[in-house]
Amino acid sequence: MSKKLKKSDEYHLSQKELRSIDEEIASFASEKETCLEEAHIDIIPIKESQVLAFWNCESEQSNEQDFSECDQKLVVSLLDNDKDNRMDMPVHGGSKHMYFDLWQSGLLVEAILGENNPKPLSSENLNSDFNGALNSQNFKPLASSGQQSTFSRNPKEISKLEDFTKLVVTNEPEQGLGVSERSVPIKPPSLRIGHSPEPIQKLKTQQHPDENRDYSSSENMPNLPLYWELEGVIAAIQFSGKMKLPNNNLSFFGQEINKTSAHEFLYFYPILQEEFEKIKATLLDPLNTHSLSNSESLHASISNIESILHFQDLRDAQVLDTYLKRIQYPYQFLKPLSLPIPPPTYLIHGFRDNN
Amino acid sequence: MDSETITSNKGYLSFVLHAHLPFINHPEYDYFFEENWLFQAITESYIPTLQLLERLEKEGLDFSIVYSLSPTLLSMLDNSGLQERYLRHLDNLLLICEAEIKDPKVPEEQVALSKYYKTQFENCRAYFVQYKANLIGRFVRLHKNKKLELITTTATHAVLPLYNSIPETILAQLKVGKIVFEKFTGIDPEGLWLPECAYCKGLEDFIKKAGYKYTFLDTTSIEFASPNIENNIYRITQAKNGVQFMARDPESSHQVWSAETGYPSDSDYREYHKDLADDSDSPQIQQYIGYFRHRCQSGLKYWSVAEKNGKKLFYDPQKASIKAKYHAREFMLDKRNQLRNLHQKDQEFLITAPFDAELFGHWWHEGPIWLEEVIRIANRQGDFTLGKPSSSESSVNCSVEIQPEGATWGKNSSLEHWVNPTNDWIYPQLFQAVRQFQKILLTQFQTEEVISDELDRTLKQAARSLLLAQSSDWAFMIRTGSSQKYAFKRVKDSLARFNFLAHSIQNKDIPKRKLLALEIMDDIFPEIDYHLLSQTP
Repeated sequence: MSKKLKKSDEYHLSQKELRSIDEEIASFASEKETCLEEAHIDIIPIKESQVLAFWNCESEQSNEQDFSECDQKLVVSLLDNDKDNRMDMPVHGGSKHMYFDLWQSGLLVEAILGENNPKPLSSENLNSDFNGALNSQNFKPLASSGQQSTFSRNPKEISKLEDFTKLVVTNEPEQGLGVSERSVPIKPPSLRIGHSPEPIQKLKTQQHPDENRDYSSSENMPNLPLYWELEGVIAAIQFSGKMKLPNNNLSFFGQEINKTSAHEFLYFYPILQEEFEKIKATLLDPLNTHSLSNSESLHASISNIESILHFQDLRDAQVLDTYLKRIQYPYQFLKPLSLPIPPPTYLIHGFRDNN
Repeated sequence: MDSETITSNKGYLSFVLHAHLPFINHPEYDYFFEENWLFQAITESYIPTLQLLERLEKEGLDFSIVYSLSPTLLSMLDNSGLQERYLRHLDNLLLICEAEIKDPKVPEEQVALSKYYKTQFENCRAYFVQYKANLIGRFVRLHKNKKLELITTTATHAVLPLYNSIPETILAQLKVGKIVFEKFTGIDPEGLWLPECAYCKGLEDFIKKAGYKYTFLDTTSIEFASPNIENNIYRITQAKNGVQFMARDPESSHQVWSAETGYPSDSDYREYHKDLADDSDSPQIQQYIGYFRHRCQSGLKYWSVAEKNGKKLFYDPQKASIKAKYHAREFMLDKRNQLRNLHQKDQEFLITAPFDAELFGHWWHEGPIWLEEVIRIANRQGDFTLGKPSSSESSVNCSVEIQPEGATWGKNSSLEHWVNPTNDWIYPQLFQAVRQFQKILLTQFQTEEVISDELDRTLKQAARSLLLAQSSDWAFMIRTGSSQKYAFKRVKDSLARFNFLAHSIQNKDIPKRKLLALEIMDDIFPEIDYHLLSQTP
């Protein structure tokens, strides 16, 4: 043998004693389990198709110095795309909340901003507390009582988004190799090239959105069908050959938005806002050989969309600003790819069949 | 297929094989099922790959392959306890083969395959014994002869972007990994395999600080880099600080891994999932299974992917070998076409084809035959240089500095396999433990004038536990449901062991036998410098 190694018998430790010590020390895990309930999560995107998660965890002996980053209590719950139920999640809820859903890479992400929620989310309490309280048509912020904040999507709505996922991302069933989940990489959208996300440090120190704002109100929300006008503009760009967007998926995206409620539009809004600005710039750029800057109808259309989408108003909304910086919306629907990705590295981990 | 008559342009084809397994060592049990993962990888992948490369080297063929050996894998390959158990594992399999061959009830085709496996196991055993279990030495020898370019990865295969909020951990993973690799191989590695190709902006600074010169990124990271330069994924690009990037070639991945058209799914190839132990009640199999106290795969797989009337057909190694060679020619033809399409005047391109090393042999049984044939074809044709261009190859290097995009080679190019509702509970505990350890180090080295040997050992062991808990493998297995219970236990145990040690340090009461037991069970990174875990980047 290449190397003499420590062996238990050399130290007069029997296998039985090793196992006994192993079991004894394993009990030290339980002391930390409460930590799960106190954890809160920041999800900070690097870019569209990536979500990096940063957790800050309060210990029992936490102090300000150690957990200075914990000022913000963004709590994120991820719904498994393959299941209808929510997984248990560590939560810090709060007195004022914002709610949004994010369809991200096959996962539905639900986030709640707030603090002082002592209870973890679980499938059980979510089902009992929220399925009735909140649905896709009736989003309301929680009262400022510090009560547990738990929002849930209507299961029907989840199904709808799952269908959406299936339509957009070609998750073909595995063959031959038997890899349980074939990776289907999605390119970030070409439209997003040049976009520079906020540096992580900056993101981590951003302040809470205005707690007094009632985000459930739809009075300032855009007139959703007008999204079709925007899509028309995008189509014009496609036609110009400057941008390559798959028609079908974009169209489907439009239909989805059209069907959604105001609060759902909230999370699509940053996409529209940013894309619209880029599209407008492209279309009106006199240096662009495909420029439509002389088109009166285009100007009218742009003006119409701008006035209805209330860009400036919404841009100033602290909450949207925060979300926009915190989470860049996924763009998988714009350009699904068919190229495969190798399964992650442990190819030989699937051996046990009766585990 | 007339691939060899087609003229082509010159270019580089660089295979990058990443060999990694999580650290699994259970001396507290006679038999431990998960240790078999290493044994199967040695038998089916590592030894066959070494042998094919040595064979080609002996024939004087020109090639070089980038081969990544993870620090955890190196630690296991060097572990004498596991080495002994590997031989016992082979002996058990040989007993099963012999019983199958002698059993009159076993069909003729199955007997032939038992003999096939018996030869394979005997061959592995002879090789293992001949080189005194020193597989690492065989890899190093090939490196010295420039047939392999050995590189490594992070200490315990931590997915680095997940630790951005505790950057000390990123640097520690990189530095410890490099130190361990150097200790085992005597090689100062220039290249780094980023676990799961997981990159986020700024990571190049850590990579450089750790002393690496290049790494490999997912296609997405380079394709959407800024600025976006045409064909960047087929050139060596570099960050502002000089760290070089090579991107995964999507076409090569597609050919090998596509669920529909990927080579390993060919009907002539061996079926991975169906194993003799699945339904055999032979006494030898029952005994083998009995060691592990539940049914498990033996590695004797008699069937091909093909089915007839819902029944798997017997595997035909000869037929499969022919198909693997055919696929190799097909692959090389495709590479030539790719190169032709890329060709620009005075410009050479690099096609980087990274795969898990265990793909070749374990997962895809015929993979080594395919790889060998690819190397032979490349040598006959002469239009590809097999290997990574040297850093000074100006014809392939892109002089423009780029900022890659964050991505992984996982599903959706994202981190979702390693961060999702099934496994996200790991991270709060992990991050807290890291902070706690940093606090302990600060306290101990402020208050203690002399660090006793016992305290030093305890700190080292605590550092090992922390690093082991950071392995990306556990989160992934929990997500996929494969060996989920074991993965869960490993994370919990590593954290529990850390908690125990931290508690002992804080109470100034270090139980000697328990410390010793942990050193025996987590016998990894013997010379670890725990200060690295709190070193500010």
